[in-house]
Amino acid sequence: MKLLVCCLLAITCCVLANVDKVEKSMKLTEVIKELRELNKSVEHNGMMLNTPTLDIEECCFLSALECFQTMVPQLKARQKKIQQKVVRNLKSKLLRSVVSCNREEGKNKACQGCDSYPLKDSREFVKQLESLLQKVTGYYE
Amino acid sequence: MKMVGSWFFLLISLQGYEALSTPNVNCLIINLDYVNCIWSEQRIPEVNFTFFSNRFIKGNMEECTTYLQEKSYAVGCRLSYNKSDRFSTLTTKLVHQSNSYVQNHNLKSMVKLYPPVNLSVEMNKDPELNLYWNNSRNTLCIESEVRYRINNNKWQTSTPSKEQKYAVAFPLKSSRYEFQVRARVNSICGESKFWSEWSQPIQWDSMKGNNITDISGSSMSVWKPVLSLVGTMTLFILSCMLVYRERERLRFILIPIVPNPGKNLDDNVEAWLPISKEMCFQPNFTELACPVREYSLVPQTGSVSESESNLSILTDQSDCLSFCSSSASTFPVTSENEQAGIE
Repeated sequence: MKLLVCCLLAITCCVLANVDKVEKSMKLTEVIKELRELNKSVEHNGMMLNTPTLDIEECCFLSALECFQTMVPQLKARQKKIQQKVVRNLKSKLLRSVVSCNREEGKNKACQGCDSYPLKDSREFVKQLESLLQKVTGYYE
Repeated sequence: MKMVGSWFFLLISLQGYEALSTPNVNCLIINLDYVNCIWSEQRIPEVNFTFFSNRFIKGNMEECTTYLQEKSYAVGCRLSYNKSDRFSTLTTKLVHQSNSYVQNHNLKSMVKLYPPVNLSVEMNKDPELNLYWNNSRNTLCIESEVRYRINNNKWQTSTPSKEQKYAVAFPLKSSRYEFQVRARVNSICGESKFWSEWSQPIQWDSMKGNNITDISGSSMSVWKPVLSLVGTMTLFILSCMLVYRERERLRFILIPIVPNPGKNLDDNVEAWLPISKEMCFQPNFTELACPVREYSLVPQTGSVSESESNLSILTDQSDCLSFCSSSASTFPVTSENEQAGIE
């Protein structure tokens, strides 16, 4: 009887773990699709923004994501609803948990401030944000 | 004015010359397994370069450990690849004597996968023709594209999808289908610029079932020879049994003995006429005549005695008929017959 209960518990845990992985992967896919929608509605008229690069330590990706999140509202988008939705998704706990660092070494290292990143035009900005999201998706696929 | 023009012309020509001598490094990620950086695409180098590369995280430039050679010159370098390397900038440096050429590469879309393998086709009951395959990498980041043609006509291409399965509804009868598949990284994971090469083709013929080139035939073709062998063996065993049981009778049918009229007819018949003892044949046979008499009923006063005499006549006749069943003995019939007959 005990063995049976243990086995059922193990199976349930495995299933939940997989479901969790699928949920995260789906969330990332959703965010990327919304970002592309936003890109279509943005007026790229040479606006310059501090754009984080991906050539950073693994554990600094969360701070890079936060920098992106503060910059997105500065884009001149015709459809405000999509812009707000993207900002909301970038703030979401699920995405944050995906990007956050588990390694203890990395947590201690200081990451670059948002202003220290180079200025790039809005097209490049959106492209870099998409790359960050695609990189994270790769971990879960 | 002429001086300015000539200086300008000289400057441009010098720049052109420099561009020719600067090697251009092209890096490509092969099947997400390793990276090939080649500097010989424009022309074969006449000198041996030393190659250094650096992925941002490491900081220092590292020399190449695996050079790719062509005609005794180094034309490229094979680098290892880790999962997230695609999104980091790759810096390469080619050094020859005092000259060094540095380049930065963004490898996100520079991926070429191996073609899909293990293609198989099977027919459904719907009817639907299902194509299955395996991608070279086990990841959901890959999308595949199928193309097929009917009876060697124009190729028809499908829309790319994540699935490793493709279905053709209501396939045409008496037609030959040919399928090929190719794959690349999908746009959610950072779309690759290059598709893989087309896979080995697989053919399906509606008349024959599955065909040549690749793998498994339909299950029917496997069972056919097995069933026919079992059937043949069963028939063989049955025929052997039949032959063994009925061998005597078959012997008479298959090998009849032809009588020879040239021989003396006085010979014993038994020698050339093989009749078994079961048959009622006796060489020393004397036929006894069964007397046949008619009787008519005459009504008289003493009725009881007449009925008894009628009964006794009937039994005498039955004795004649049953003669053959007990051939060895001779019947003491005569005395009884005579008595019955007189009366």
